[in-house]
Amino acid sequence: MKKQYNYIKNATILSCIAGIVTASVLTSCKKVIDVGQPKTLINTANIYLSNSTAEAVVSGLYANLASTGHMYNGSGSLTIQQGLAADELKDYSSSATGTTMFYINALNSNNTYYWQEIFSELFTCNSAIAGLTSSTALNPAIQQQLIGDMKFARAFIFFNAVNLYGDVPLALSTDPAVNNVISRSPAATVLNQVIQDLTDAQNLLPDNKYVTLANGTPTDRFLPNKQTASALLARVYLYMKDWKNAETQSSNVISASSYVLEPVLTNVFLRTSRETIWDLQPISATSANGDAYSLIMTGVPNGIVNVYALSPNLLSAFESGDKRFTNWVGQIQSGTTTYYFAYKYKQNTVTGTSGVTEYPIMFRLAEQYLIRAEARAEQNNLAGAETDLDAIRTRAGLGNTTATNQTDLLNAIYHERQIELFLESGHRWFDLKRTGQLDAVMNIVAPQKGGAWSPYKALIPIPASEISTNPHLTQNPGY
Amino acid sequence: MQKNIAFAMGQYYAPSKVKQYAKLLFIMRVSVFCCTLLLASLQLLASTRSKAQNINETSVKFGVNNETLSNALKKLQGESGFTFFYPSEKIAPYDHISVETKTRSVEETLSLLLVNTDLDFTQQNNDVIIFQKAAIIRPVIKPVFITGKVVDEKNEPIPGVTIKVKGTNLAWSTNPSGAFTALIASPDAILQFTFVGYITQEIPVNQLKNPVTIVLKEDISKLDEVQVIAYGTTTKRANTGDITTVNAETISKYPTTNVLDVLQGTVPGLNIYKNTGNADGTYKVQIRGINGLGSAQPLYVIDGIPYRGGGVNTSNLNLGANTANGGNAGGYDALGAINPDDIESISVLKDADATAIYGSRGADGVILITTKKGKTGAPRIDASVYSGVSDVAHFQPMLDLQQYLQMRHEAKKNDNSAISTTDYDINGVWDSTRNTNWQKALIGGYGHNSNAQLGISGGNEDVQYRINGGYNYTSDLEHLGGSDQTASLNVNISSTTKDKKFSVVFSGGYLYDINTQTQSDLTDEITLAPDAPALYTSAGAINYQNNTFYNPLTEKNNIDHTPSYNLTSSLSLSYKPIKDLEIKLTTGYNKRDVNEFLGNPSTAVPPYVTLNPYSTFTYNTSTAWSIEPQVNYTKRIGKGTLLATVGASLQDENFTTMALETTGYSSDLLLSSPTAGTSITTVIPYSVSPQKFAALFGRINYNWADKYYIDLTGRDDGSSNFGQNRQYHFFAAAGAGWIFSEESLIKNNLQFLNFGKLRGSYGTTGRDNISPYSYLSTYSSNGVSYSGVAGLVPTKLPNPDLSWETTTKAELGLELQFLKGRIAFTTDFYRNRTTGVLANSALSLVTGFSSINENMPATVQNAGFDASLTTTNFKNKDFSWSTTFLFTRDRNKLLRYPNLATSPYANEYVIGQPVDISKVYRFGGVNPQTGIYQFYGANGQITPALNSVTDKTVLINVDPDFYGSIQNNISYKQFSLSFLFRGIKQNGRNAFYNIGIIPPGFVANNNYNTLVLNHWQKPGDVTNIQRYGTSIFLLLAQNNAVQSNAAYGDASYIRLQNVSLSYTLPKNVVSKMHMQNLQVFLQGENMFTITGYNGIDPENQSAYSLPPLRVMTAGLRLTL
Repeated sequence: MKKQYNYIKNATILSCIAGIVTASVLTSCKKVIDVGQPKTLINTANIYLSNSTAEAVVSGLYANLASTGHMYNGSGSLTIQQGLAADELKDYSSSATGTTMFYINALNSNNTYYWQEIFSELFTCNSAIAGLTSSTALNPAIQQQLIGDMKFARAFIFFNAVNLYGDVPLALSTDPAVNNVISRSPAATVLNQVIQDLTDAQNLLPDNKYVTLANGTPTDRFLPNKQTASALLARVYLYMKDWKNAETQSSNVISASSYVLEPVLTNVFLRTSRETIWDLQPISATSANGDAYSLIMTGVPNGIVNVYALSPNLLSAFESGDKRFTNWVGQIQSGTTTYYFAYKYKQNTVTGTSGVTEYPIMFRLAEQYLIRAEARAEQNNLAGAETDLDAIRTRAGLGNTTATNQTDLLNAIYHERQIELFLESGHRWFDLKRTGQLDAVMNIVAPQKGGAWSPYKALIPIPASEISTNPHLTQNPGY
Repeated sequence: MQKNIAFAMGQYYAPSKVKQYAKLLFIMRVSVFCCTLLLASLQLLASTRSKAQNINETSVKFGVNNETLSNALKKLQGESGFTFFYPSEKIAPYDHISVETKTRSVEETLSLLLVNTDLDFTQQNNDVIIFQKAAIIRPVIKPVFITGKVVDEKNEPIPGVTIKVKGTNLAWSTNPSGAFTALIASPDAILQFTFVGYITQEIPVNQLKNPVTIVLKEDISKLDEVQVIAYGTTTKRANTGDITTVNAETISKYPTTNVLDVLQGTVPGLNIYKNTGNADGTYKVQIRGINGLGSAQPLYVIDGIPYRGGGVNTSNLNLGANTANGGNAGGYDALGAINPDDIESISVLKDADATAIYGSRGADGVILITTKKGKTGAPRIDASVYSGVSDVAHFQPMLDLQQYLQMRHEAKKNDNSAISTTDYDINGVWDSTRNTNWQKALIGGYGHNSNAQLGISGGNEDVQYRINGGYNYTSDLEHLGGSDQTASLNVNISSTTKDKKFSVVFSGGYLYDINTQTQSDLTDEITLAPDAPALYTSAGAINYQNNTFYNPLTEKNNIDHTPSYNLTSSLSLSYKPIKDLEIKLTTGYNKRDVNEFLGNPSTAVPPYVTLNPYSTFTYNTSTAWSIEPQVNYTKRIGKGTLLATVGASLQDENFTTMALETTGYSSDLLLSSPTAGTSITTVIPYSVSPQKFAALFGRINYNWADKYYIDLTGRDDGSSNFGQNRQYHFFAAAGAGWIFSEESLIKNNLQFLNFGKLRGSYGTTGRDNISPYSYLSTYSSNGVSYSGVAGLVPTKLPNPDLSWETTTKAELGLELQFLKGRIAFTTDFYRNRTTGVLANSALSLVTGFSSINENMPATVQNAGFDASLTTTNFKNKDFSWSTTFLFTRDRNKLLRYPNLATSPYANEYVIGQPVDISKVYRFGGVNPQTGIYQFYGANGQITPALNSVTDKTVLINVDPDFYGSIQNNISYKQFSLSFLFRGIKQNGRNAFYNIGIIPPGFVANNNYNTLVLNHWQKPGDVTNIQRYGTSIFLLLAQNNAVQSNAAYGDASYIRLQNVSLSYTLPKNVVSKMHMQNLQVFLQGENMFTITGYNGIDPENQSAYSLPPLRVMTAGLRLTL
């Protein structure tokens, strides 16, 4: 009897469980399968509700820019790849490596090169600008600066994109339905957006942010300020041949109190350099500046390391007595052969507790002097141009320029840029392009490097996969 | 008490039949005479009861063996709770009473006890009065006492056979030695002998002579074998769906730790590729082609609880990634964590009728695994042990030393390139007379494996149990010092109450696996130059030949230590409150952890490299719990039976993964500690993938006269993987079967056809195979900080409209059996169409991402047929031979894709073609003048500068053309032999592809397949291999060539997949050894392959991964 009662009791419990589960499934289906908010992700809807997460998005973007292997640091950077493409480096790497195609000027559309990085970063900028602008929850001062940061970054990335690809899609939204069918906009249209963003950034970013601390130590300069926006704007106007504005913007920077030409050449590329307008903070405290790691030769080339030596073209361009040769060029001897290498950054490995002493520099004051020199020369202000040019030459231990007419002076300035800015951010490649010297130089250099030159190679190819995905995109001629 | 007795006495003398009164007087006289004695002898033993109960409603478990009736009645009184009154002297003469122990009603038990006596009984309240029948006036019916045994055709006893008097509930069963005893009151009765898997025999009692031996014949038609289906069971006869079942007997023929090896070639419509020969490696499992896109895999369900299949993220890539067949990334296949010895059966569910009840997750088929349960009987101990070796069965032809050196020198000469200081193979630094066959040296050895199982099982009618422990050891064939070991325990307990109303089944399994194989797979090192230096110095150290040689054994010093823990559990409670109704609750929890530790000590690099030691730690945890209440109702309506099932399902699955790298160890000895270094960085960011499913499901099955069957299933399914308004979807299917062989027209005219069934089904199933939160826009940490603030980065593009992928399956099947099942043929024609295909669709990078999760507007079709034919070629007492042929042909194609030309997939898919086609360049051979590969462009002309999109004009289809197998089972006396040949006709990546992108002679220390011997040598040569050389143009051409149709070719093969030979010792020998069974066996897997494929193995088609191995083992199996 008792046993039977137990069965009935068990059955009742079982039926109840079944009933409850069934009922709960029926009545609250939505709730039953609610898995809550993601635990390792943040819903975008929540990002711009707090200052700290909003700041983190901006940090995320800069950290991305600073990553080794990206466009601005170490292997894969504009410095190395465009240095190989131009006449700055001699490549000893085994021909199976990816950078060889840059060296022999044989890029093809099967590779995405910089494309993915550019548009991935632009997505972050667009997403952040939209989120920051519409947010009502943020501290207004922080909100303003973050928008400025993102507009500056967007301008910086678009400007590089135009210089590499020519016309590019002017992607300003985050909507895949829009961006997946977008066409390329004329470079001029994109540059107008760049100028607009930089003008906004000048208003939004803090002025003269970096001051030397009381103990004489300059603060780090890895966050852009108003002068950074001006420095980029000066460069943009220079490329657009808007000489007047280029002079105005570079003067804005040169006149700012935070920046001085470091008199000692070996101090120019240090983290503490007062010449730096904007650099990138390395994302790891134990990894050296990527350019230093890739470019400094610690032995003879073996196909994998120590493969980037300075090209004869660059070496022969140095005037005798140029202190930049002795301070910024390294040498390594093997028998009768001497290999020369870029030695602007000197810390190729980080050991002990010294930390990273050199950050990859994006903008420095010397460039602004040379921009203004060129802008003034183009406007026939030869005296003003000579002053700026000589400021750079003097520091290099050279005499004043001997150029007396506009053409000679411009050529002297181009030459000075080749030396002063060698193996920095692809300046040489872009200068050759914008000054119309590219074909002349490359017709000589390309065969020496084992490749062949055609004028269409001034622009790099749009990835074929992109054109197949979005038939509205067109290929650059020649590819 | 006195009153009670008096009352009883009164009734005692009141027999009911009037015509017996004459004799009654006599009895009364005798009785009065004996009254005092009788009173004294009346037994009163039981406790009294407050409330009357019927003896035909009260059950008692009772049995006696060779007992006196008096003792038997005392015993029954004790157990039944009723008080028995009987005249002792009438009881006394009866002895040697035997009644089998069984639960019966008291009435039935008494009938049995008294069946051969002249006594009868009647109930009065709680008392049972036993009295002498009016034997004197009754005609005597002599009961028949039958004893005997039941054996099979091999004269082996069959325990558990039910012996029933036809038309009654009277039944007995055979004991473990096949013996039985039955007492039958009527000599006209007919006895039925039934046992699952055997043909039922009916024999009239009057034809039996003691002792009898009944020989049951095996039912080769298998029509009434139990088949496990979704949420229930059926038989092959009654099934309306398409299900293939593989049972434990087949599984036991395979020397493997992963049951997927058994399914390879034994199930029509199921295609399995083994990605690697390394232990714990992954498989690609496909039921009837790719329904959607990408790596779909079936749903695995173990004892009713969903089980996460496939591989997991690991750093040890040699277990499944990097394979030609696009295997699952990662390693440690989940099915390898289930001991095959614990599996009773595997049901592979294919069509809509069988799978729609799994709704959202049934589209790619369902594989149901049922674990072994205990069986009623005396405790039985099963043990088995086997041991064996494994090796690579086939190698590819490689250049020998002379050919290699010739290639290198010719390459240098062709491009006027100087022999450099690093060309050690030809510059004299290495001894160029050394000639090593690196295939033999690196992967030519033997691996060892051993396996042991020990289990106990048994039980009685109330409780059955099975406990089994297993151990397996597999050594690393490449002798890098690793091994794989598993230890497992499986416990099953089933219990039923006496009234059979309430039952519980619990299954629990735990498997621990420790894999210490290193992450290097030496298969990709077989291309070392034949003159590369020796692996070891004369002193036995790893040889680096003065720092000129990267010795592949360098990584021997790496530490790979991967423990994995797998818990599976399932509890099923069932209650039958009334006849025909069952309430059931199935619940369970599975958890699997795979935690990998890879240590890279400073010693695991050549001396010319300095390495700061580092370690990688990978953690994967998958959990699943499930609660499924269910109600089953059976009702006979008219000539038919209705089976209805309704239920609900609530499932929760979670998967977490993370990998970290620690650097900055001060000593190699600390490498196994994740926190002993100075820096920890993220390799795989911590991710949590929770998924919840809720569903209501139902099934109605009706069969009319065992001839017409109809089956309707439906499931309303919800998945958390979709956005708020897209979470629920209804899936349904209908199936029908017609056993036309039961129609009298056919039954009477086509007697050779003993079974014929036509069945069809149509319905929808779904797939929600996307990662959680795909509908949501999110940011995640990028793990680094800038300006002191930890960064956040956008993770993906959101798609709030994500919804289900739906597969509509239509199927028509025909099942025929001829000559009493000696020829059995089944064929199924099917067409599956998938719409709303879930895909990670490529986007222009301008969107910021390369892809987005979406429902593609595509319709993908898989159509084809599979067939199986089993013939019993011979069958007699000593010799039997049966053969099974399986054949599958599946055609996959993209049926529709609106606006494909302007979609992101314009260059990937072609309407009418399979979805996994590759587009490649059209190979134009070697330019006879330059000796370099050339290709045809889109314009049909040789094109020097190829466009990687538009010039890829050749479609390559690597889907199998067809596949099948032939299995033979032969037994002769005590010997049994089975072997299975598996064949597949397909195209695949050939040896040319596996050359890779480095052209022959281009770099030092890289050897090639001999196909490069046929290379271009001088202008005018017409050949298909370009010249040897070191020019970058050769490199570019080689890179294009491996993306051309030259890299694909026939990869068909026929393989002797499995052989099993066993010898079972004769019973009389075994019983002298006090055993029930003893068998010795030899087993082999992947014994040899017939193929024209020129690479190492046509199955994994890889130049980097160890091919599936040949395994040969010997062992024995015994039962105590």
